[in-house]
Amino acid sequence: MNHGNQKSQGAALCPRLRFGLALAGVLILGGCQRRSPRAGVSTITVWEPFGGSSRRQLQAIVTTFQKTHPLIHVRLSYATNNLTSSQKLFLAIAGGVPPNVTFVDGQQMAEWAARGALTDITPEVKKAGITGHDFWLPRWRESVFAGHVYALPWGADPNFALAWNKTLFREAGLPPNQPPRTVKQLDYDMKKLTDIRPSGRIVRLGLIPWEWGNANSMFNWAYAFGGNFYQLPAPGRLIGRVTVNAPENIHGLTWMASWARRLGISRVAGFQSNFVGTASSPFFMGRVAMTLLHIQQYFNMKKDAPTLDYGLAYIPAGPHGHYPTAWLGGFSLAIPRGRKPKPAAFTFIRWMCTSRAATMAAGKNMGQFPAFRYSPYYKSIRHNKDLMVYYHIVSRTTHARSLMPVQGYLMELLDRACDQVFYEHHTPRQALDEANAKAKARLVEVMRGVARRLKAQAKGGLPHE
Amino acid sequence: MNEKVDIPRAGRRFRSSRENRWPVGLAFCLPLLVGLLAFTAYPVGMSLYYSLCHYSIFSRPRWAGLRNYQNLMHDPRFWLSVWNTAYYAIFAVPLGIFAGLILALLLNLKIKGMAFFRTMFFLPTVVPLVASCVLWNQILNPQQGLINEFLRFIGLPEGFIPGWLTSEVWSKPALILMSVWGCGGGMVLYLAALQDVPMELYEAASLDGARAWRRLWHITLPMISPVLLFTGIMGMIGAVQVFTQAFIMTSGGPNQSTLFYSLELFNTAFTQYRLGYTSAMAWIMFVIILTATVGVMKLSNRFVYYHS
Repeated sequence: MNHGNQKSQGAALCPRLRFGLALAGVLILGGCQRRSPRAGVSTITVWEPFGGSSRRQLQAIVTTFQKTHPLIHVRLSYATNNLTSSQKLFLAIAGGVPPNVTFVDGQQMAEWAARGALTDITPEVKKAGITGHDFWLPRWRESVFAGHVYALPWGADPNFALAWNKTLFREAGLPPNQPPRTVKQLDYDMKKLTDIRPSGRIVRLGLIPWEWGNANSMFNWAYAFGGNFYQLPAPGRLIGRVTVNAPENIHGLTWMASWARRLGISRVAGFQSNFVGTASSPFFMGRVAMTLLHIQQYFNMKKDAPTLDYGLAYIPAGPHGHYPTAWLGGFSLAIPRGRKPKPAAFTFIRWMCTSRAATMAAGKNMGQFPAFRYSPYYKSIRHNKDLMVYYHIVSRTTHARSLMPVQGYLMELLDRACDQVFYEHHTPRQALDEANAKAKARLVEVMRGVARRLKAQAKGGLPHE
Repeated sequence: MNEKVDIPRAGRRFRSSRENRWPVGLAFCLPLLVGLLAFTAYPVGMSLYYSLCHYSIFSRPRWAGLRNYQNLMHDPRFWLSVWNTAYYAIFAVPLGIFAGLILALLLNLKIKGMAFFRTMFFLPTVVPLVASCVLWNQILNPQQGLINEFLRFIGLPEGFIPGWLTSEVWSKPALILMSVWGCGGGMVLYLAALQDVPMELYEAASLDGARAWRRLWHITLPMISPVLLFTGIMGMIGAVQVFTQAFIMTSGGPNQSTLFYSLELFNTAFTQYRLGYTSAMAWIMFVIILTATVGVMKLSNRFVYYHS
C-alpha cells in the first residue's frame, strides 16, 4: 500500500522536476545568449584602454559612428594596457578569439607586428587611398613595420612642453617671461630655483629631470642633446642600427646624473611620493618651479590650479640638440591576428583615425590631439596660445620613442641603466654600453624569429617561434 | 589450512551493489576530475613542455632542450631576484612567526576586553593587500610618513632617518616590516593551539617550581610546535612568491633592490614575451619550494612534538 503511494508521489513529482529542469535550462541558455543585432548588421568588438570619463567620451564618438554606419554595430570593451604589456590581448590572440579592433600604444607597434600579433592592413590602406602624409610623421612611422602597415595612428601626444611658474621665477630673481632655451640656461635657472634646507628637507625644486620615469626621461633628454636610439634598416633588410650608447645619449644621461647627485636621488624620490593623484602635482602646488607638462596634465592644470601664473615653452636643447625638441606618443587602432578580419573593422578604424567628426570629437571632448594632420580640430585651437605650443610640437617633431621591435625590453634596459648611474654603480657610458649590447642581442633574436615566420608563411605553413 | 571464508548472503549483496555503483561515484567526481585535469594538470604539463622551448605566445613553440635552464644560470637578473627573495624570506618568515606568537601569548591572557584586542590585531589580515600597499606607502613616506615623523619626534638626526622605499638599502627592510603587520593570520592559529595545551601540564610544572620562561620553553612551544611548523612552511611558500607589494609599491626598484623572483618572472613573461624562459623560472621556483618544504619536514622530526 505504502509502496503504491510512494510510486504515485514519485510519478506526480516527475513532471514538476522535468519542468523545473527545463525552466533552469531555458534561463541558463537565455542568460548565455548574446543580444543578436538585426539581420545584415556586422558586429565588431573594440578593446579600449581608457575606462572612466574618457570611456564615456569614446562611447559618444562610437555612437556618432553608428548613426552614420547603421550596418555596423560596435561593442566597446575595456582592456588594460600598461604600455609594456597587455596580457588579456595576448591570451585572446593565442586562444584565437581576439577582438576585431584594439587600441595599441605607438611604442608597442613594431614589437607586436614583428611577433605576428597584428594583421597586415596594407592592402586596405592602399585601397582607401590613405598615405603617410595624412598623419604626423613620427606616428605614421610607428604604424609601419618592414614596409607593411599594421595600424592607423589615432592620437598624437606631444611629449612634452616645458611649463614654468612665473611667480617662483620672480621670487628667485629670474625674468618671469624668459624660459630657458638651452640646457646651460636651464642649469642656471635650476640652481637659482632649488631650495633644500641644511637638514635635507626639500622646500622647492627647479625641475626634476627624471620626473617621467627613467626610460621616458632618457628619451626626453637624449633627444634634447641630439641623440637617437635606433636607425631604421635599409629597404630589404630587417635589422637596423642600435644606437643606445650614442655620445649624445651619454651626454643626456650624464646631465640627468649630475642633478641626481646634486639633489639626492633618494631625497627627491621621497619628495615626489608626497604628491599622489593628478590634482596634487608638485608643480601645481608651487613646490617645483618647472615641469615637462603632458597635454592631459595641461587640461588638469587648468581645472585644478586655475590661479597658477604659468608659461609654456619647449624642452631646452643641449649643445648638439635642436630647439624645440620633443617626441610624439599616442594610441593607434589595429586588427589583432587570430581570426578572419571583418571589413567593418577597417571601416571603423578608418573613420576613427581620418574622419573630420571623429578626430574633432577626440580633440574637443577627450583632449586627445589627433594623429590625422588635416583634422579640423587644429583649426579650432588657432586662437589658444597654450594649445598652439603643443600644436607646434606635434607638427615639428620628428621623434617617437625608438622604433626598435624590442621596445618593451629597451624601456626596461633604459630604466636599469639610469638607476645604475643615479645610484653611482656605473658611469653613463658603462650603463649605456651594456644596454646597447643587450638590446642588440635581443633584437637579433627577435628578428631571426621574424625571418623564420616570413619563410614559413611563404611556404604556407604555420609560423614557429 | 585453506579456510574458505563464508560471506553472508546479505554482505555479498552489499559488496556487489557497492561495486556496481562505482560509475555513479565517478560521475559525481567527474566535474572535479575534469576541472583538475583541464585547469591544473594540463597547464602544469604544458608549462614543463614550454620550459624546454622558445615560446613567445604568438607563435608555435620551438624545441630548445635545456637551453632556457642553462641561460638562467648565467643571467645576473635571475640571481639578483633569487638573492632579493631569499633576503626577504629569511627575515620576513621568522619575524612574522615571532610577532604572531608574541601577540598570541599576550592575547591568551585573561584580561578585560580581550575580544576587542583580538579583533584589532586580526583586522590587518582581512585588509586587501593592494589597500595595505597604499596605506604603507604613506606610512613609509620618508618626509611625511608616520614612522619617520616619529623618529624625528624622538630626536633622531636627519642623517639617520631611513629613506625606506626610496633607498636601495632600506627598501627590503621596509617590505619586511610591512609583512609583519599581517601576522594576525598566524596569531589566530597560535591562539587556538595555545588554548589546546592541557592546563595540568602547567600546574605540574608550577608545582615543580618552573617559572614562566621555563613553562614557555618546555611546555608551550613543544605543544604548539606542529602549528609553528605549518605556519613556517606556509609563510615560506608565501615569501618565495612575494609579488604584489613590489609590483604596486616599488616596481622592483630602487635600483632593482626589490626585484623579487615572481616580479622578474612576470616581467620576463609580459614585457619580454619569453614564455619558455618564464616557464623554466617557474619550474625552478617549484623545485626550490619543494626542496625547502621537504627539508623542513625531514628536520621537523627533531623539533616537532605531536602529542596526539
